[in-house]
Parts: sequence; structure tokens; C-alpha cells
Amino acid sequence: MKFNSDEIASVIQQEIAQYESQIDVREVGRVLEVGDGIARVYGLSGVMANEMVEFPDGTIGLAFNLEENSVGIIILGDYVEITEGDEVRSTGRLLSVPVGDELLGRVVDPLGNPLDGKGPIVTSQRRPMEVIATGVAERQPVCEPLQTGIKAVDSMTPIGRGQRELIIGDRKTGKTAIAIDAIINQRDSDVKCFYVAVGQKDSTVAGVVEKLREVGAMDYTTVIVSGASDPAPLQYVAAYAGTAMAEHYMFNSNHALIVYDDLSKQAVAYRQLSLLMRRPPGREAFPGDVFYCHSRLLERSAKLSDDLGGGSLTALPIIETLEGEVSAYIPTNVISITDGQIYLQPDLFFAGVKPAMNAGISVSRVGGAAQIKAMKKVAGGLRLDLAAFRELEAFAQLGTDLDAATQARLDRGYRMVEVLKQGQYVPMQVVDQVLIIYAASGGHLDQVPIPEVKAWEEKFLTFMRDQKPEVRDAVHKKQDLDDELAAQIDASIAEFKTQYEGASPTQPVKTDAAAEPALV
Amino acid sequence: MDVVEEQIAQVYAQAFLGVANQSGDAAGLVEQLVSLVHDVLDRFPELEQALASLLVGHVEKEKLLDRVFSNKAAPQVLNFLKVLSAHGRLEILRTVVRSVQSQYSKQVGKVEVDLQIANDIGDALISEFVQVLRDSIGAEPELRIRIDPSLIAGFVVKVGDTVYDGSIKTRFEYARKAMVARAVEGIETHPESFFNGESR
Repeated sequence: MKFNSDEIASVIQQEIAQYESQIDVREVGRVLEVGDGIARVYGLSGVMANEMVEFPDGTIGLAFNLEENSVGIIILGDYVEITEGDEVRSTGRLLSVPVGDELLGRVVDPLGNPLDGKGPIVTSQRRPMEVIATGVAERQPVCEPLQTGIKAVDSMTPIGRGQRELIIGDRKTGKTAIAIDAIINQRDSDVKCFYVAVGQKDSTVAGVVEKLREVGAMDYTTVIVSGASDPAPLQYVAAYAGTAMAEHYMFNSNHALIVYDDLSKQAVAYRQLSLLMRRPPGREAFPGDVFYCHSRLLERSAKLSDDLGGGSLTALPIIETLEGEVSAYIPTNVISITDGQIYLQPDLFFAGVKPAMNAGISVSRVGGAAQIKAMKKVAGGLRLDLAAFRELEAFAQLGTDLDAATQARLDRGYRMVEVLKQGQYVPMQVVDQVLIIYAASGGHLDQVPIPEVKAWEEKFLTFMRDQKPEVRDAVHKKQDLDDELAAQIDASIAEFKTQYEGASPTQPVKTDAAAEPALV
Repeated sequence: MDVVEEQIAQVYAQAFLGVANQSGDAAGLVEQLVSLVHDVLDRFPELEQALASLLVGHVEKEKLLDRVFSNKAAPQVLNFLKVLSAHGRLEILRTVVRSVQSQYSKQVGKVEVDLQIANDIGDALISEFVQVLRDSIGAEPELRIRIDPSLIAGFVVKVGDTVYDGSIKTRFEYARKAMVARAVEGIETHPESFFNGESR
């Protein structure tokens, strides 16, 4: 392999032709000390807060602390090459990242540099990393659903386009799984997805990217990675960088979904920076403005008004709790900022209820506005019913004899929990969700033994797809359930039951609560 | 550079200039203080060590200052040195004097300017520089000239934190970066045109 020297010579020739003798004017400072991803610089008296500065080796920094006699710079990149006495120049620009369709399908670092070895990202469009969120006049209430494809989420804590829904839970409770399923489910929608991995193991992120690629979700997804080995400044800015990339779609009348996995680690990176910069520590040693750090980030997710094109940016921040401690500093902060939370509980997870969502304390403050009418009708009281069932179930465990009505409610509850279980990477279409929840809440599964509920559901949905496509299409088209359609579904269920019972004779229904799967 | 030391020195310098301005001979007092560093401390490092040392107490330092400077330095300068000694700040004397100099320059409308040139350019060109600088910064430039052959040709002027760089070294560096960037971009976007077809 040999370079063609003529080509290179022509490039250099062009350079020489365009070379102009100009005086380079720059504002400079001098590095006093450097280490742990930060530098203290003397000079740069005219630098702006959050302005981008450049070190001699081309590394970029961000003016973070403007003090009386020095400037604290966070270094976004390799800081081992920077030495005391180096000249730092201000650029007069704010930090920006490349945006546009060229980023889709790519894995990039927080500065937009490719990490996937697929060549450069050729785009001239850039957006500043930090912008002030859109104001009241530029927004409209969340009204359009964003289907995650997860029955428990779409029915009980629906997410709308432009909403911020927190996914919170201990480690290994399936937080990332919910977010990934939500991304996978956008395959047939027009929503572009952004997955921001902060402070995670690179192997975990590689696994996520591989899975997204396998199911074809990378075609509309950008992964922004700042791994556990990256310096804290990069981990801190990753969330803002991802938001800037996603906002590009929102402001161009499109829809985007962004997952921050996870904000606890971003807060830890910010705490590290702040402590190194000698900002006063507050509760749990976090700086006083850690709330603002998250609120200004999450406020950028919005549903724009129709005048501005009606674009939206939906955020799914993830917070990892320690031993279920939701009242720690960062979880309470983010809970108060977001429009609801999906709380994942380890007990449920280990009892085989996946997703392990605790229906009692998971909420969506947007509520029914983020659901199609049909779903609203079938799942309206589902969350409260489930919560009531759990109370009842706890009571029943005391071994008291139950009357028939109570036993019936318990049986219904067990089956409903079974119906809401769902495997990973298999998001479900909203029509199917409506049909199965309608069947379960209407009591059509009451006679089905609990271990068979899953099989019943699968066969029922196949039946509806293959033999009653007109009913599915009608639900899909109307997005509503009127009496006529409800009657059609009832008739279909009755027909299916006959077929199902014919294929596998019904076994006697177990009524012994102790034999049921553990439920909370 | 110690930022905290710099900050402390600024406070003492401001106080000294206040006294100097009241005396009516600020220029003389500042000059005396500067000469103290250049003509005394530079030549007698042992004296500086003794003044800065924590092993020597304030009373002894006061006596030492009286013996050395009582008939030679203005009373304000001597008193200033004694105050520094009383506060245990004689070790940052050089920083304080530097701060006094820069604050006094600012007060009288002088601006410190660093000029780097590749080789000696002669007095005529220097005075032309001074004239251009005077017009552009609107103050009297206090020129500090340094000859740095690595610039190749041209000059670098530093006024405060702003650098005006007209050196060939920087232009070459920019040209080099631009060439590399363009070549890399060319290779990445049209790799085929950079390779001879037959050698692939």
C-alpha cells in the first residue's frame, strides 16, 4: 500500500495558496497546577463561564471556576500531556457537539468523536452543549404517547412524548432493561433514540450496543459513552452532550428519546470535580448546585408548541439506589424534577416478577394524557386495583379463611400480575397490550391455572392476529374502545376460549393461596 | 506561582501605594522599593535569607533593618519593611514589590508589555513598536524585550492576558496543522484517491 504523493502535494499546494499572513490574537493564561482532570490557570482574565479553552496539545477544557486570581478549568480529554507553565488560550466559543443524522447508528464520546471505528462523522451541524431550556410559551402539555412496549409501564405509568420518567431501583433490578426495551420499541415509530452511558463498565455498554445492533435498533440510535475509566469531566458533560444531540431532532419538528444511564454516576463525577475545585461540599459531600445540575438537564426535555413544530424530547433518567434508599439526596432530587418514576423492587425481581415494577409507588404525573383512549379504558383502574390486591394478599397470608368474593379478587390479582410479566427485548404492540389487559381485567382468565396464563396469552394473541385481524385493525385504527368494539372483542375471546379448551382441557383451578407464586 | 501569595501581596502593595501617594513622592518610594530588590537583595542573598527566615525573630529583624537602612531608605519604606516583618510576611517581599510595581504602573497609565522577537531589530524599530503600541492600547507601554530565535521571524507581543502573535513559528504551526487536517480529511473521505490503483 503506497500513498499517492501527487495528491498530498496538491493538498499542501492548496494550503500554501490560501496561506495568509495574519496576526493571531489570543487571550492566554498559564497553567499553575494540573491533575485529576482539572487545571488551575493564571491569567485568562476575560474568559467567560463555561467557555471552551485550548491547551497546547489541542486538548479542550472548560472554564468551570472563575476566581479572583485564577481560573479552574476542567479538562475534557487526556491531561497527562499538560504540564505546569503551558499556555492556555481562550477560544471565545462555548462547547458544542456535532448533531444530525450522521450520528445515528454510531457510538461516540461526549465530544462527538467516534468510538466505533467506523470512520469520521462528517457533519457541519453543531449545537452548543449547554443551552437554557425552552420556556413556558414554547411548550405544550404532553399529549402524545410514547409506547415503551412494556405492558406494566404502558398501562400503569404511561410515558408521553416530552415527559421525563425516572427509572429508579437497586442494582440488578432491570433498570437498563426497561430503557433498552423502550428504545427497541421505537423501531416502527419516528422517534430517534440516544443512550447516554455514564460511568459504566465498557463491557456492559458493549453488550448493550451489541444487543441494539442485533435487533436492528442501532439504525435510529446513537450511543454516547463515557465509561468508568474516562476522566470525571467527560462523565459530567456526557449527559449534556447527549441532550444537545437529541434536541436537534426536537427543534426540527421530530421526536427523540434519551436515556441517561445513569445520573447517580454523573452526580458522583460532578461531586469529584466540585471537590477538586474546592467548592464547598454539602449533603453527602455533593456541591450545593447538584440539584441545578440535574434540573437544567432534565428541563431540556419538552414537548414543543405547534408553532415551533411540535417536536419532543422524552427523557428516561436512571438512578441507582443503595439498599432501596429512595430518600437519599440524589434520588429525592431527581424524583422531584421528573414527571413520575418507575420504581423497581429487588423482592419482586427475585420473585420472578419482571419487570419488577412496584405499582404502588410508581407513578406517571402525566397520566392518561399519555395513553391511547383504548388503553385508558382498559387500564384506568389497574394500578389501584393491583395496589389493593397486594394489601389483600398480605392479609390473606395470615391464613384466615376467605369468603368467595375475596378469593375471587385474589385470583384475579394473581392472574393480572402474571399477565403483566414480560420477557426482556420483546416489546409488545399497544393493540396486543390492550387486548390482553382487556381479557384479564374482564375476568376471562379467572379459570385459567396460573402457570398456564403465559401460554394462554401467547395463544390468544396469535389467535387475534391470525383469525381476527379485523378486530385488531379496528382497535388500531380507532385507538379507542367503544361498545361495539368491546362486544367484538368479547365474542373473539369467547371463540378463542372454546378453541383453547378444546386443545387443552381445563384443569381445576387452584385456590390455595399458599401455592401461588410469591407476590408483594 | 502561588495564587494565595499573590493575593496577599496585592493587599500589602495597595497599602504601600496608599502611603506613597500621601507622601507626594510615590515614584521615588516605588523606585526605592524596586531598587531594594535589585540592588540589595540580588547582591546579598544572605540578607534576604535572614529576613525571610523564621529562625530570626521580629525584634532582631527590626534591629537589622534599622542598622542597614535607617539612614539610606525613606521612613515609609523602612516602616513598610517593619510592618511586613511584624506580620511575618518578609518572605514574600519580592512578590509584594512586583505587585507594587504593577499596581503603580496601572495607576500612572503604564502598561507592561512583553515583546518577543527573533533577533535584535535595532532601536529605531523598537521605538516604532512603542509608538504603535501606545496608539493601540491608549497607554504608555513599559516594554520588556526578550530575544527568542525559535520564533524564526516576526514578533509576539503580550499585553495583559492578550497575545498578538505575528511570529513565523506560529504561522508554520498553523499551516502544519491545517495540512495534516486536510490530508486526514482527504484520506478519510476519498481514500481511493490517495493510493495508487496497482499497489492496492
